[in-house]
Amino acid sequence: MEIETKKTNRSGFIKQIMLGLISAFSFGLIAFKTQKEKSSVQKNINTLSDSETNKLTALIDHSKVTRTKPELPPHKA
Amino acid sequence: MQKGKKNSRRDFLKKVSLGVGGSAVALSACSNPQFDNFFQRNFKTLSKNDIDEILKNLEIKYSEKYGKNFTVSGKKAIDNTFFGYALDLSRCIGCRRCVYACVDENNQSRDPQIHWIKVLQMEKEKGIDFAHSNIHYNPEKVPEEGHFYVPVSCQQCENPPCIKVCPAKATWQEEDGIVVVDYNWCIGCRYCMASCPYGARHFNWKEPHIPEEEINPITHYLGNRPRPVGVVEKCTFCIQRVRDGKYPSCVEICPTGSRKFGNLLDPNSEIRYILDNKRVLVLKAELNTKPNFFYFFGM
Repeated sequence: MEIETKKTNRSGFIKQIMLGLISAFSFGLIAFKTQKEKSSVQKNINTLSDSETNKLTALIDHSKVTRTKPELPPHKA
Repeated sequence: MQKGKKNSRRDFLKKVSLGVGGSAVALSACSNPQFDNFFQRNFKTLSKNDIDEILKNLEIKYSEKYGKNFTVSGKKAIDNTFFGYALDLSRCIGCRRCVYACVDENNQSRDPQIHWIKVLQMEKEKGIDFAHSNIHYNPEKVPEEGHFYVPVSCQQCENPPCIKVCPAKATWQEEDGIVVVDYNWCIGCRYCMASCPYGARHFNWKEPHIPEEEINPITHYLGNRPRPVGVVEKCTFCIQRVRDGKYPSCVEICPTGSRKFGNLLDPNSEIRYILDNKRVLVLKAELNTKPNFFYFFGM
């Protein structure tokens, strides 16, 4: 009887270990995939330099925009 | 000598029993929610049952205070989501509609005034120049000749200095990239404000005042729930909206469509289209904060 219980416990234990390993592996895989995707987005970002930005701001054209009344500015401290 | 010793022991025991009795009375005088509130653990370490109970208590508290049916959500980040934001500088006209939509949606204090979004007016000739920008512009109509507008709020940095300096670990970045504050854990030291290069964090110097009829009762624990005095707050990309699949309120209100928002991990999202096809500007890139808030020129 005792031996049987021992056997069941061992197989249960192995099952749990296997389940744990599989879930840890899948979580790791998901985390790795997400991290890879994030870093690839960050890597592909094509940023503007300050001088390029300043050239582009000078080119902003508001001539065709409908003028509107702005909301109130924040209180002065 | 022995007599004196006996007396002092008796006195000591008396004092101890008085102290124990006194503290027992003081503790029993504290109502249960107050006691729980004081000893509440950091939001990140709470179990689901604890969170549910805390949210329920907050809903009751806010509903009683503001006379509206409050919901306080604790919704976690959606899987495989990492939020990004882009703003078209060539379209922004500086109308400040976003500022007030944000104030209404996120229950920001009206007096003293707190604005999570600041719209800076700059001169076209000078380019991006924070030192000479004007936040208090108030002409009859916008956009004004020779000017452009740069709205600035939390940049939800991937390498946020505000998180590193917090001594209480009351602020952290969620899995979807949103930097949040646990108002119950914030000790109000304002180190995060000092470390933020974008001036995106705001301190509640006084009890926030929000008129009852203007309060937004749909809230998130880490976002727009009413804040107590003495804590720091900031933009959360409208966490209570975006985790329900909605756009942030500033994106929805913008009359020129200059604000774009989406999931950076979704290759078909609008934000990814912008990042893949446009050259973008990140503010103060030299500080290596890696903002997830991008500026671009759609013209």
